Amino acid sequence: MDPDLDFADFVASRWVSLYRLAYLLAASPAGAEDLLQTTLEKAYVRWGRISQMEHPEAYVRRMLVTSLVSSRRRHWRGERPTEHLPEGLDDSCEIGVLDHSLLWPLVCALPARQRAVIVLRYYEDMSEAQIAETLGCAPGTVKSQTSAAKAALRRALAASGVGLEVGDA
Amino acid sequence: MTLDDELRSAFAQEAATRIAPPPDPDGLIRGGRVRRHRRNLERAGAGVLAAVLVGAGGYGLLPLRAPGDPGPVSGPPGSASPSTPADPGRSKLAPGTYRTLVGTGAAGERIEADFTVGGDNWNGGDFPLVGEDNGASYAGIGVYQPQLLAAGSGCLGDTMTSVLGRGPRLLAQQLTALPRSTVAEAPTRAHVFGHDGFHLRLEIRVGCPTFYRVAATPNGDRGITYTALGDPADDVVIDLWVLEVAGALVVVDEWHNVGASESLKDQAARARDSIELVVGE
Repeated sequence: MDPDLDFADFVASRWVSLYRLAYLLAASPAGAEDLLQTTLEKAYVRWGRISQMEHPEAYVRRMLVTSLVSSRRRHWRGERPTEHLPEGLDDSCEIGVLDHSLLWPLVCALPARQRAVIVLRYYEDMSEAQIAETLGCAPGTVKSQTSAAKAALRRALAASGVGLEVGDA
Repeated sequence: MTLDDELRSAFAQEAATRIAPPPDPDGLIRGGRVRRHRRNLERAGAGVLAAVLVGAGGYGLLPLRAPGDPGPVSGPPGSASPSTPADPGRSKLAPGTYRTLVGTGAAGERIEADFTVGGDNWNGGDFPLVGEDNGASYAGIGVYQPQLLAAGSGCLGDTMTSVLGRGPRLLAQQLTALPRSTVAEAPTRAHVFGHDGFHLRLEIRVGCPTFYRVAATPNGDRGITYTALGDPADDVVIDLWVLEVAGALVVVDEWHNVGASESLKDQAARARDSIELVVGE
């Protein structure tokens, strides 16, 4: 099959799914379009190899993440992985049902890398190890990024008056 | 619901309600072609920088034996000397075992390193390099004695420091502060290549006007950027092992571009695993 046609078919069939991930990662429609365009242009350059993969879409989705993180990397420096999580981050902690229109803007306000980790964890259903591999960092870094993001969200929710329902210990 | 559940729900809802603009495959292909064309042009000039990167030293690689050969092809082990002719920049490195000069021990002994490469995509020089078939990513290994370490921006031409940590632990700790780096794995004790030492892993943004220089060594600059001048290079993941050999500090490293294939990383890892340090007279 002609590689260009193959690539065009891929774009047509996966566009919506890729756009949605790009939107969650970039946290804006314009940012999502830029991120997706850049990523797919890069994917075109390597399409000969990507198209031979068992799961080309999975690879392109990882490219989306690395494109985002690379473009923001200068804002993400000096963090260190840690095996010890801050207190008060019990995942089993119950919270009240939220209005999603409240939670999403808070996610958008997270630093890009923290948002990427959260999106990969809860939208892409990746494990910590998979996220670490995708981002090219240590699992401990993923853990600390996840914890920091969730702690920030809890603080923001509490400040918005949802904290009472969150009931953080 | 837990916050985890709320996040899953919020993401699913936000994604589902987001209306995607129509795709423009033709525009993406045009953009991809421009990107590819630009990259090919830049890559055409990469040899110039590559020669600067790895050919700056006066010591090249001495082939010892090819796979299946009974023994050395250019003299017995230990015959390599500083007068070994330099590998002129980048040249194809045939599968086999090679010897390179590392430096000198505390008593003036020559420290050398043997390593074995396989596959068709290795290039020689003081610091061997392997690339993907399509040239998208690179990986490499190095064994050297750092004389100066990157400071400032880490880019060629910027300042370097001659104040090096004394002993493997302190030098490993110092390496965690290399410019534009993020620690992926903090220094931990390791016994490798027959010596006790410390291992650490860094992510480094290597995008420099020229190239990122980890260290100045007796064999020239240890660069970890393989790209044309001005080309924004892919970031690098680099593993470093800091050892004390014959009373001198030796660094072994292995780097690869972020996004490199597992196959490429495996090739670099196998070459690194094959390293044997040789202390001679």
